[in-house]
Amino acid sequence: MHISEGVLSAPVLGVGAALSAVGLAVGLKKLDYERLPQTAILAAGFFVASLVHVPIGPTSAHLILNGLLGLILGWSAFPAIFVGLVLQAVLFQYGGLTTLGVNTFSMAFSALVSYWIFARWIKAGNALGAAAAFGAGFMGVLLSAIMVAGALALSGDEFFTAAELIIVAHLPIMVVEGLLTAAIVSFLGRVRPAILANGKTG
Amino acid sequence: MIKLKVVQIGVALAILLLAMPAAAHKVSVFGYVEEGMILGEGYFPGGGKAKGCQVELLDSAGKVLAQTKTDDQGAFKLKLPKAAPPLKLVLIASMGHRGEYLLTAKDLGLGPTTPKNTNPATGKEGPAAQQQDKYAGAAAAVDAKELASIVGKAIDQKLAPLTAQVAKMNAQRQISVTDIIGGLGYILGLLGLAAYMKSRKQK
Repeated sequence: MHISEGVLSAPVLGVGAALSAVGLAVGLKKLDYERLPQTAILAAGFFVASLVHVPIGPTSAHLILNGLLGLILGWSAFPAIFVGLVLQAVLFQYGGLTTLGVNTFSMAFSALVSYWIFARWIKAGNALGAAAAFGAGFMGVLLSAIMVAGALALSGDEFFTAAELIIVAHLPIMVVEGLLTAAIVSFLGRVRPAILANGKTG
Repeated sequence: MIKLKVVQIGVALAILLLAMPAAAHKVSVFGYVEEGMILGEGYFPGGGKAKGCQVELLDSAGKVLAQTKTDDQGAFKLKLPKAAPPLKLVLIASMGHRGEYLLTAKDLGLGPTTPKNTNPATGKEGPAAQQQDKYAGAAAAVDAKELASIVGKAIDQKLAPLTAQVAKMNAQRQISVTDIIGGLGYILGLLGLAAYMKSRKQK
């Protein structure tokens, strides 16, 4: 999901950076004092999740957790994911500094969409809440994959080939993320329901 | 409780997956020259092989000189073209991943060669030897010159895989615990900074 340096064309990089800047501004504005710690914790979770690899055939992909971040943070997923990506680029050489904007947007915007669609059901109850959390985890990765394919397509790749490749490669990740998000959300729902309720203000 | 089980299974799954090697999300490539061919391999961190990836050889102006694909072992072979160094190897893995490796003049075996240095040394032989047979001395000098170049080439050839090995080890460098803890530290620091700013605004 991390696009490397030198793959995308300059206009795509520019648009990605601009969109991410907007998302970051809104996210930071909506980030209130009480929710700072959980934003930081989830940013840390996102940063480390990229080290959890799921082998898929010849290659492998890693956890992203953007669906979970979206569900809990809403717009504030933007700053959390941005910070995580900067550190991943600098420390792990994942992605790159020039592609930061595009990468942030592909992962954070998917997080936000998952939030818009699924957050309302999270508090509803056990089965429905868990299903919605699964959906958010699944959707976060799926949308990111589609957006990455889109960014590659705008820089010259064939969209459907790229999209098919990326989506197929990430299918197991989508399922794993869905399960993990459902597990974490149902756990939080029991021990700290307030964390999930906070998401409503996002 | 069922939900607790789900969490436990999730955690167990996460721990299991942590132990898995190989990864995408960063790809490295390296190459070395042997007998007029550029040999190289593509790697993902942790040693996963970059199979069936496009490899391009670019000159310093960015023009594509040659291209090929990696095989099942992530290895590739390109004929060394007659172009001025430095040349750049670019490996394009799928899904937006890309790695580069620079082949300098030295890597290409075009650097300053050894004979120049050894020539004066071999040319100055003992006076006795010079007097004995001029022809033999000349022959020895030529032989020494050739020998130096042959030895130089042989050493370069022997060293090439070793150089490649070093590049490979660099490419396979695992993410260290220090990196992870450093990253978490940064996040904590940012949290502190943000909390400080927000708390000032609130007052």
